[in-house]
Formats: sequence, C-alpha cells, structure tokens
Amino acid sequence: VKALANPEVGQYLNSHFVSSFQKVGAFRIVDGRKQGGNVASYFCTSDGQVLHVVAGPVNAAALLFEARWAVETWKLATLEHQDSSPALRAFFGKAHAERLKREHGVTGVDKPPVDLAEMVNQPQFQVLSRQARVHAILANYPLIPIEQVYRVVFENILDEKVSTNPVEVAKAP
Amino acid sequence: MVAASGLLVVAWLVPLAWFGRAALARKTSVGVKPGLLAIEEPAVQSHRPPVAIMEASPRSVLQPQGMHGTSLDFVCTPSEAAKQAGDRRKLVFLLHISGNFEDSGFT
Repeated sequence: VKALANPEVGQYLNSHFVSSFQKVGAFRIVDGRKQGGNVASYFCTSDGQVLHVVAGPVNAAALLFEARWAVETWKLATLEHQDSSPALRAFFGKAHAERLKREHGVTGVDKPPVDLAEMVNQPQFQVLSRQARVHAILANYPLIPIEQVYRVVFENILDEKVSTNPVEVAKAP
Repeated sequence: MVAASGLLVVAWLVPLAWFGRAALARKTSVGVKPGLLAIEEPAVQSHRPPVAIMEASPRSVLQPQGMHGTSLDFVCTPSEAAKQAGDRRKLVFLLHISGNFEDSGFT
C-alpha cells in the first residue's frame, strides 16, 4: 500500500490502467499477531491476458519501473504485431526471456514444458528468486489468461494459500 | 470554518439558481402556443449540485470509497475494470491480496 500511495505511481497507473483489487488469500492472526499476508500486482490486457506480474511488496520506484516496462513493451508489441495474437505472445515471451537472462542470469527457458504445474515443480524453477520465477513463467506462457496463472503465482511464488477466508484466527501451539 | 463558508455559498447559490430558472421559464414561454413547443430541461440537471459546489468539493468527498489510502482510483470489481479498460483503450492493473484491502488493519 505504501508504494501505491506514491503520487507519481498513482498518476502513472491512473493514466495507463484501470485498477481493481481482489482478495484471493488469507493471513493468520496467532495470539493477536499477524502472520503472512502478501500481494501480487498484475498488469493485464483488457481481456485478462497477463503482460507482467510483480510478486510481493516492492517500493514505489520498483513498481513504477515494472509498470512502465509493461506499458512500453505492450506498445512496442502492438506496433509490430497489431493483428496477430501468436506474434504478440512470441514478442512478450521473448521480452521476459531477455529479462530473465539479463537480470537473473538464467537461460534455457526456450523449451516450454508440457504444463505449468509441471514446470513450477521442477528443481531448477524452485531455486529461482520470486521475480525470476515470474519471468520464467511468462517467457514460457506469455499473455496467459490470469485465471490460469494466479493460483501458481500466489501459491508457488509467494508461498501463500488461495483462500476465501480473509483472516484465520488461531492460538499458538 | 470551511463548512460554514460552504453553507454560506450554498445559501447564496440556491436562491440565485431558482430565480434564474424562473426568469428563463418566463422568457421562453412568451409567444409560444401550449402543446406546440415544449421546452424541457434535462431531468439530470435538477439532481446535480451547482457547478461551483462540485468543483469546490475535495476529491476525498467525491470518491471516498475508491482509493483506500492509495493514489489509485479503484473500480469495484476486476470485471468492471476489464470493461472500462476495453472502453477506454487502457490496460488493467489488478492486485491480488491477502486479507481485506479496504481495511488497512487487514492487509
């Protein structure tokens, strides 16, 4: 919430995006103390295709950087491949693969596994940082519909559980 | 102090607006046969506050539920965000969170 309170972030997001939020998980209150709780920030097309994800809380500068990257990469993709969905997907997949290599030193994601669940259980995936996991997923599954990826992001990247219960109150063992 | 000033402005504006409309009605009705030309003001105008009041209102008063302590204008649901984004040729920014975003104690 602190990053979202930044006026520059607000101005940029309000001018390029329509924003909303959705509760998908719970945090625990154990003996009056909060445990867990997290956030995933999605940049999507209007029909729910995921351009980019920021996994976990980040500061204002980082959120603004990622928002600008999503917007500018989308603009470039639509400039070059306006009328071709496969070409748009390929463009975004390549963009994520390049960031994965440049910023995290990871290569070899150009052979998509059979499905997403199989990919996130691979040992080489689980040693990656949160944001590297995001790039790895979106390099292999560019413009994936959000309903197909949000559970993986929340549970396999953020290590949270998807839940309809906002707060779980428990006593310490 | 600010509230009192606002009330004074309203106290001045409301009678002025009423007299203005009455004068306009008198002017437009002159020489017009009943039933041939009915001049009706749009119904929506009667429900809107005077422009001066709308412009003077702080943003937090106009949209108290939409920002939740952030600088973002949130719409109610992701599907509404998708619809508006399509209409306005924008992208969608969607937060998936734990707890209740509306209550700062629950996020």
